[in-house]
Amino acid sequence: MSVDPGTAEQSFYAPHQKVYPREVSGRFARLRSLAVTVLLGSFYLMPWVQWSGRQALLFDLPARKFFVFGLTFFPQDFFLLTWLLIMAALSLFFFTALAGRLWCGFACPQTVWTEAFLWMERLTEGKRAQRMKLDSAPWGAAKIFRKASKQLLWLSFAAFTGFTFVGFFVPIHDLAAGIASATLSFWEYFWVGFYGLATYGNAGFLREQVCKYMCPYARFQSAMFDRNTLIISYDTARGEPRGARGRGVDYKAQGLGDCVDCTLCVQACPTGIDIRKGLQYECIACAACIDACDTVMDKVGTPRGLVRYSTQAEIDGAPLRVLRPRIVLYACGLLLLLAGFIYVVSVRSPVQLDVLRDRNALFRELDDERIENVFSVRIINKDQRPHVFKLVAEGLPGAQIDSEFPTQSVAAEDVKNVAVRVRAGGDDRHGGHDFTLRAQSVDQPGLNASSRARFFFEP
Amino acid sequence: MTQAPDKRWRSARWRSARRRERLWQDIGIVVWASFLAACVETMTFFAYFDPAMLGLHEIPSAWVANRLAGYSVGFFIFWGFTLCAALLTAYLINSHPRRSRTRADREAR
Ligand code: SF4
Ligand code: SF4
Repeated sequence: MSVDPGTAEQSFYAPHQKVYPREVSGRFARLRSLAVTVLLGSFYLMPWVQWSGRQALLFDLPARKFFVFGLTFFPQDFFLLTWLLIMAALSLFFFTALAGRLWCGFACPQTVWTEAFLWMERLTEGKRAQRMKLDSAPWGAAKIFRKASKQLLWLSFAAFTGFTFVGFFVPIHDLAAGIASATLSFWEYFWVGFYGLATYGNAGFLREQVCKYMCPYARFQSAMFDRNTLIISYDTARGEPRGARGRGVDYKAQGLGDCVDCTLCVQACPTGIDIRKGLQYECIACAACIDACDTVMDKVGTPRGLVRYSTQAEIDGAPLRVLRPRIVLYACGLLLLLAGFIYVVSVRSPVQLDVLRDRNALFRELDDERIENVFSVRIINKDQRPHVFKLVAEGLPGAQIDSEFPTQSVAAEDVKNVAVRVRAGGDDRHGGHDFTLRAQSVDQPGLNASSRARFFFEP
Repeated sequence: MTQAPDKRWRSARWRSARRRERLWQDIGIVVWASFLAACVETMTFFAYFDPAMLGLHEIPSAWVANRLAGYSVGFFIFWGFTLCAALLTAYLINSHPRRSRTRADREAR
């Protein structure tokens, strides 16, 4: 999709132009480096962290168990995940209303990985001007060498990223051993490659186009903005009319503003826009233009802040209001959800029972004229020690439970599936009757779980 | 070089390049949106159904040799469906007579 800039004439034929973000240094660049280091660092290290003898954070898909430090979750806890996602969405609302696209500039995986890929690009192809020159230069040994080393770095980093990603879902030590001995299954290789390639494509090539064309958040963020949201803006009143100036000349006397029209803010922009044209939806609020402009202001000796974080209210000269109804509302909602989440997780019952009717037969009449229904029962023991359970049917007079074993022992953090035959006298009862199936712990009285089920007599 | 190209340059070649690029962007959006939907579907579906249990009757067991294979095949089946839906949506929106007329008008101008 991106084209070699080639000659100016050629580039006119190409609607999309490759962006070569200029390297900047300054407060926000340092902040972003910090964010990138912390975020990528925790991503790559997390799967290796152990917690009481196993991977601390492991969404073990093959085993259908999810270990989050000391806690174990099962697919039956799916609603907790939904809950978490709702909280994540609400915090995005909160932070957007408060500080604009803070997420985009400093925390979005797209930005973070692009930053890492850009760093490798700089390492191999040099600074902005050198990269542009290299791209328009004819192919030769030096160009091939630089491009090839970039690709090598990118691809190995991407492969390691894919490996790490899969390591959150399959125990990473097994995965590493499987790769070392080339014994991974097809799908394990596939997902390592898939995630690796997605990272490579998104952070190496698509970059700002992901934000411009693919990201839903970028499209609806303006709905969360108001006059007091932090945005990055150019102080038009102070900067205009822009123009170059001679050394030691009083430019104010010439009628010029503070903008020296060096276009460094434009060159620094990873999405290739000119912040001086006002707030645009492409702006990911990365603050690179602030750093670029501050450097220039320092050099020419005018105060910093020609491009700066401000709010629409500030631009219009109104006082800054941080505590607005929507902020308070979002914060309250977030706190409530968080408290609820912690409560639900902490009072979670260590056992759970799932009862499913046997699919093949509704009921069966026995020789002694009693009726039998078959259920498949799943006993989920989320506790860190094993338990022995006895199954009882309640609310169905005369019901008896017949199973292979009188009691069921379930290992720690394990799930056991048992087929259970429930029998009841069919004398004068017809149709469906609801009853409760309870798993009662034998080794720890008081520990039990139950589930409703329906028993069918003859119609 | 970064300035907007002169109107003179908006030749047929420029326009066809732009159209091609638009097409790629649209394809990107369709693939991406359907991918997101398929992810959510896969997560929800397999939260309730264990591929190891599904494999017994309905689905040829070779597909679900293990759970990971089950999830993966399930994911691509879902993605297939969401991709169809997204493609159809994009096609119907784009080929709507009223829209294409305004676009033709715009381009003629
Ligand atoms: S626009 Fe979207 S993809 Fe781009 S940085 Fe922001 S959140 Fe990330
Ligand atoms: S305009 Fe400034 S803050 Fe916005 S994306 Fe460009 S460099 Fe980043």
